Amino acid sequence: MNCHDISLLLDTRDIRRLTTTERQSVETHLQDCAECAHDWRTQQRVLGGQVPAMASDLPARIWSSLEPSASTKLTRLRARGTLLLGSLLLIGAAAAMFGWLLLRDVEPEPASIAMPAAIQIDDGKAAATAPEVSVSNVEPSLPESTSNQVLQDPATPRNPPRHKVIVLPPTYENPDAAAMEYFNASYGAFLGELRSKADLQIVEVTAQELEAAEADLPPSPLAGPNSQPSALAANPFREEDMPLLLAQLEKRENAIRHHFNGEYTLRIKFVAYPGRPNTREIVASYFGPSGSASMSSITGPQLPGNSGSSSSGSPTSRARDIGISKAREVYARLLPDSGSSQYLSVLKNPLESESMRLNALNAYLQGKATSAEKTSPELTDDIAEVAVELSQSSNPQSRRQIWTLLGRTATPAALRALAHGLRTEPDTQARRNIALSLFDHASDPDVRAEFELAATADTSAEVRLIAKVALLPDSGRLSYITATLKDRSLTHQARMEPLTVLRRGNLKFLSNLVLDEQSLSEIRQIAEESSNAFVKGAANSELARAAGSIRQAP
Amino acid sequence: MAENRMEKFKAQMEPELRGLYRAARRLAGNRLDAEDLVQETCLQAWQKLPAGIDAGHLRNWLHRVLYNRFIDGVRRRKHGPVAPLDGADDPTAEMISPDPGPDDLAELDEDERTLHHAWMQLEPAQRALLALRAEGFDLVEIEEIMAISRVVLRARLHRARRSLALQLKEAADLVLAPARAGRIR
Repeated sequence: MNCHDISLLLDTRDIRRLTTTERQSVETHLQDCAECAHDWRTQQRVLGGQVPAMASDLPARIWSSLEPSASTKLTRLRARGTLLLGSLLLIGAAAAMFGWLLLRDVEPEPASIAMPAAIQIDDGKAAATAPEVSVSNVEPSLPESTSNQVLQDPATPRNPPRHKVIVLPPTYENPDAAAMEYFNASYGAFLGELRSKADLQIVEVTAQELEAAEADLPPSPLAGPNSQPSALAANPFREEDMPLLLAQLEKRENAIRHHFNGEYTLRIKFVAYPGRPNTREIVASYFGPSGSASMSSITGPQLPGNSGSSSSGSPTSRARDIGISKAREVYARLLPDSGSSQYLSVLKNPLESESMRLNALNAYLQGKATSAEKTSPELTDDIAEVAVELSQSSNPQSRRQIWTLLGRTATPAALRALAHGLRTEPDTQARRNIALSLFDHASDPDVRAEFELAATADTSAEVRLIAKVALLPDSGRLSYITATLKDRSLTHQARMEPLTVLRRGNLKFLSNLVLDEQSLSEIRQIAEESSNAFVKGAANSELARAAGSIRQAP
Repeated sequence: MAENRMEKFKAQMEPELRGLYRAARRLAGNRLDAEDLVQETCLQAWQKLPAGIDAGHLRNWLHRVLYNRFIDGVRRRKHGPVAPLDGADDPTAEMISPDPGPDDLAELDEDERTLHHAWMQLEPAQRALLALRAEGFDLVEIEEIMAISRVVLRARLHRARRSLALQLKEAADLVLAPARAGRIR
């Protein structure tokens, strides 16, 4: 027996349960080798160490701490039951009929911008990395093949197949202390969420391990003077260099995957912007057999709306939420089938936070989980029901978001919920979103009745205007807009108002709107004369639109 | 239905609790934190345990959660005042020492205290590695629980044993009383 064998025994066996022959061989070697003897005694010490027994009442305390969450869940499920049953009857078969029509208009999430993977990939050593808990990057003293022979027991039951994801060290741009706190909360949640996936095996590689692997890796094409992201932005690669750059990056990523024996590499980059303490950017990039992609989110400690979420709570809890959402997005991209069911399970779980459920609904409807096939998943009755349930949220931001999503679905149940919301929703912005969502459904008797009420009685001028225009036929809508534009007794802002308010919605009649020459001339004058930047901008946008439509005309 | 689920959950978890607690105690080094770790692990199991998981995989799954919770806790402590997982800010979090309290030390004899002292000087990840080996997990299982490659795992195990040996030597050189006096807050 030699040092190698001793090390193998220590790593793979219970040294208290060796055969007599093995024990004798070990003893012989330990007499001659002080280092091994030292290691052996240490292991014996650890195994012989007494761990105080668990308190006898700990199980009872644990079960009692779980029971409130169980009963809360049951109560909430029961409460939901009544709503679900009633609404299910209403949704019925119409959901399927409307589904394709409604989903085709789903817009990309504003906060999520697809970016070329190559540009997002930084060299791990180029930027600051977080302090690591892990401790070693030392190569093994034993050949892998030997350890495999000892370790792999065919009789041992194994988990279902897992996809090994190599998580490379996170990188940070402009990380001040506040940003680091935010990023650390986000990153911890990001990794925690990925680790909780039974079909992923997450392997964190430290900066030191990556550094140690460099000898086996082709050099990064981003290394050198252009390796800093800011320098890269200031001096972008020439277009004609991109194919070569991408090929080099791909080669390097493949080498990293092979070196660490992983299926995917995954990087996360956190960006803070000097002078903009409320703006953070989180970019996750993966590379693997099913392709590569980068997912970017603009978020921030006080900008929950920018993250596409409406989470409330402290900045750190929002940071965690965005980390979890990002992890789920990555997971959905890596394993589309599991990702899609993941979004549904989050959406339908009343114990999940409201923001998480909203993000899940948003992500599901955008088909993030099935983006490779470029298809949107079907909006089923049960999903619409959950959306209706979420529209009862106490958080106005959540309600604004859900009303907009419900507006895109427009199943009968959603329309009724929206019509009801137009009368009862206390938040003005949310009510405006509802009115815009209902705009193209003004022929529905229930919707029409609510618009008639809102056109005169709503406290918001915007909502009254939307309702008033919605009740008109298409020709009447155009007349209203042009008459207002030409009424010089009104302020510039008031003259532009029908257009600026209605442009907030994705309204069908506006997509075909053609203004006459006199209206355009009025808009031109407003653009020149108005001292209000917003009004000026809106007028210029209208002129640009009109110019586009003229150029497109035959 | 919920009661049935709870009963099934208890039956599934009870055989695992002692092992979980032992591992948690080794990781955390004191009773209170160990109990918290076990409780958090059970809560996560209650919420997220995959349906139909068998006993062998359950054990690995639970220890993976336990380990992740522990590492997350270490990171939180290390990187500053980050809110606890339930979203509520806990102003007392930074006031709690991870070291064993007097009642923890009272449970140990002198030799054990030396070991304990040396053990707590290890890096958290080293402690986790040795604790999992002491719990009888093989390398394949630890690789899965800690999500590090076997190559790296073996190197880290080796280093962890060396570190512990060194710490044991240093702890033995110390007179235990001053060591304790310096560490108990």
